[in-house]
Amino acid sequence: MALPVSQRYGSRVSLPLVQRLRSRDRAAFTELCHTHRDRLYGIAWSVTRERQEALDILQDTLTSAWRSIEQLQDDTALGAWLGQIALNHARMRLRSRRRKPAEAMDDIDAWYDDSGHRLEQHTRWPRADDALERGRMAQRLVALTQRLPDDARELWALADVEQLSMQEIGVLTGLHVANVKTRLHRTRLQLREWLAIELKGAR
Amino acid sequence: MTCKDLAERLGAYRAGELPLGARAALLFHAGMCPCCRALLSTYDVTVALSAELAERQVPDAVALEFDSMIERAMTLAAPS
Repeated sequence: MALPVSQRYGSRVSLPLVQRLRSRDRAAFTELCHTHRDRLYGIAWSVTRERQEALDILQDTLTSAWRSIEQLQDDTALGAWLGQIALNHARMRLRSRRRKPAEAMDDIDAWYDDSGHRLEQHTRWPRADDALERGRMAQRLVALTQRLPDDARELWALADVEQLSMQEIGVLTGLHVANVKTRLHRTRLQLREWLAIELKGAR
Repeated sequence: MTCKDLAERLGAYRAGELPLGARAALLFHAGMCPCCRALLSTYDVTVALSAELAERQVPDAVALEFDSMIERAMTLAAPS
């Protein structure tokens, strides 16, 4: 069962653990890593969607954390600290492997006329009840996310795939929660738009 | 409310964060507008498909190798 946000990110951990970590207590570091293992892997995997790359990011995260462990403050929220390290490593990997530039997201205004009515009407999509068809649609969606700017794709991965809360994402990315919500909604609208175009073309 | 207003407020609506009046206006508009009803349904499908892309559990490789990874980290990382 997932820990509540307050325990994962927001709360102050007990001082003895931080002090043990700062003095390079190997058992304390092992305990810390195990506590956050699944979440760190989840961040790495959802952002990169490559299992081996996620494993490499996990290793890099642990290595970076141990290297800088003496810099921990008494009030450091350890889950957030580790999560930020993992996210930074994931970002570096994404930057190094991106082969073509992301597309600009559409201007919402372009979808509507001056009176706010939709120019091209939305239509319902065919129901995808069976697992195979849903799987195909999901893979199309993954491919479409490659067109997103990295920051938008990252929010989508953390929120809609990894299911982190808006508060958690705010802590990890340094964005205000309201900003996270706005950008995420904008990204969902764009993905929906691109997916609609693909499905229309496939009919 | 226009179709564009609805699209802009849809995220807050789905998060249950729209004030009562705005929520009522959105639902009234959707009730009258097939185009926006289609938007609501396809937006939900998009979000639901994303959720299905999560890995359900940490791979065996992580579970089996994790202690070795921690050891490696402590060996590789020189103190700052």
